[in-house]
Amino acid sequence: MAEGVLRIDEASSEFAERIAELCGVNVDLCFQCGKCASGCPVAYAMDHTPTELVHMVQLGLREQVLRSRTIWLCSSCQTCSTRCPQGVDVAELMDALRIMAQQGRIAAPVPAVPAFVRQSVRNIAVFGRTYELGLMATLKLSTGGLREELGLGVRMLGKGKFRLLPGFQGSGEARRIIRRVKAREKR
Amino acid sequence: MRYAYYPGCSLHSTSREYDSSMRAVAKVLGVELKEVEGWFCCGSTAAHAASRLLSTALPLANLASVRRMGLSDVLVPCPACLSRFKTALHRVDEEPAMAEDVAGIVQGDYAVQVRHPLQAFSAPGMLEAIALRAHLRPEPRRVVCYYGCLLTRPPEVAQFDDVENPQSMDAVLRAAGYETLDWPAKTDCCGASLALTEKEVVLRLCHGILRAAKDAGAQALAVACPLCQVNLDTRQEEVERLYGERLSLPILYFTQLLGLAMGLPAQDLMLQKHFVAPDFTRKEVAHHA
Repeated sequence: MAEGVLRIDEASSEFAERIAELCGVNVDLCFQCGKCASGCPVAYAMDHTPTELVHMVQLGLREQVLRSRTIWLCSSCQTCSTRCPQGVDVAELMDALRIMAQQGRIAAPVPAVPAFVRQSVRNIAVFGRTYELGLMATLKLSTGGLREELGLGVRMLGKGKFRLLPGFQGSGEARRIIRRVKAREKR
Repeated sequence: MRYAYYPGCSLHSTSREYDSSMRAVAKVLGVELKEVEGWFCCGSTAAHAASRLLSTALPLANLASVRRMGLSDVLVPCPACLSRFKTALHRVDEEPAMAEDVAGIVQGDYAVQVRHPLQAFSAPGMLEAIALRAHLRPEPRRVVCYYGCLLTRPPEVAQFDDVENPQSMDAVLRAAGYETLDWPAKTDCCGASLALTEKEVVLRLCHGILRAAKDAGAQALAVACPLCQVNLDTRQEEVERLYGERLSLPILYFTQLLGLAMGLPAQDLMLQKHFVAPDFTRKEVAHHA
């Protein structure tokens, strides 16, 4: 982390309080044992380990946390939540942070992951059941890497791994659910 | 036994062989599967990073469809889906405010018992039934069972098997005559949720799992998750190139291995769909149970 003086005051706890409201995770239970970081399969690629990130949330470092690579690289494998001796659901915390970052329109340092999240939900709203070929194509077109993955995609097509055309089974009901969720969240 | 069956998106596209072998094996074992009528995506693997309410409502709406069919047990073969169903049920149980929000979105009762087929296949009496039906001995038969992340984690949500050293798949495959090996990567993460976005991470995680399987002496790796299968199989060649190692480890669904031992027809098992070609011979055994 960059050097400097951290200013901790009353307002610093607001971030953690907001998170507790959003998803019920109480980060103040964490005593920094490091088990989440040591079991995390992706920690090596993160800018802050899960243990560090939880500490940053405790300190109220909202901006640094929501701009981190960590929240987007988390693979949601649940090892951290399973092993935490204090019952801190770190994987759930990561989800809450991703949702906050998107709501705050904070640019992700790993743009392909939030793009995948957005496009997946849109895919469900349109098709009901995920149209995987369409999702892969639009994701790679919008975030790059199409050429790199084209070979694999073609081989998968050859093996008959994709449904070529989308179906629309369940799409009406899926759309209704998504619409009702959005209406509820606006209130 | 009669269950509702939620195949999920992957089993209708990238993993049709899991669906097909699942149905065939269930039929042999007398397990009746009724596909959930009008099912749609449960929101995995993305909705949980978009909206808490959405990721709770999508699975529960599908469970309400199960109730409308007059059933109260559903089998979910994809652990990514399974985990979303169980998380949603756990959440409305623990959080009255969430239950209230969901009530305004999902119509009808959604109280359904959610299980993975491994849970049904390892239930009392089922292992004996598998042993009875597995009249062929496939070669090679030294396999490692890979459970991945979400079958057992987190344990208070999954409520299934041992969280660090699960045994259900081992028991099921041993009943069918396979030799299942001890190995250390049973519940490691293959990075499937990053498969489309962070290839470097995925190749590294897959390598760790494949290497551990080879080191244990495995001739095949058994999976119960469509995302793990696609990841470990279709990326294997890239892993080999990146790490300069020859692996050639076939990645099979546990249902395909069961089907091989039960002598089920090739069109049900669809082994040709895999990148790393599984090459099995089979001979009749008197009875190994």
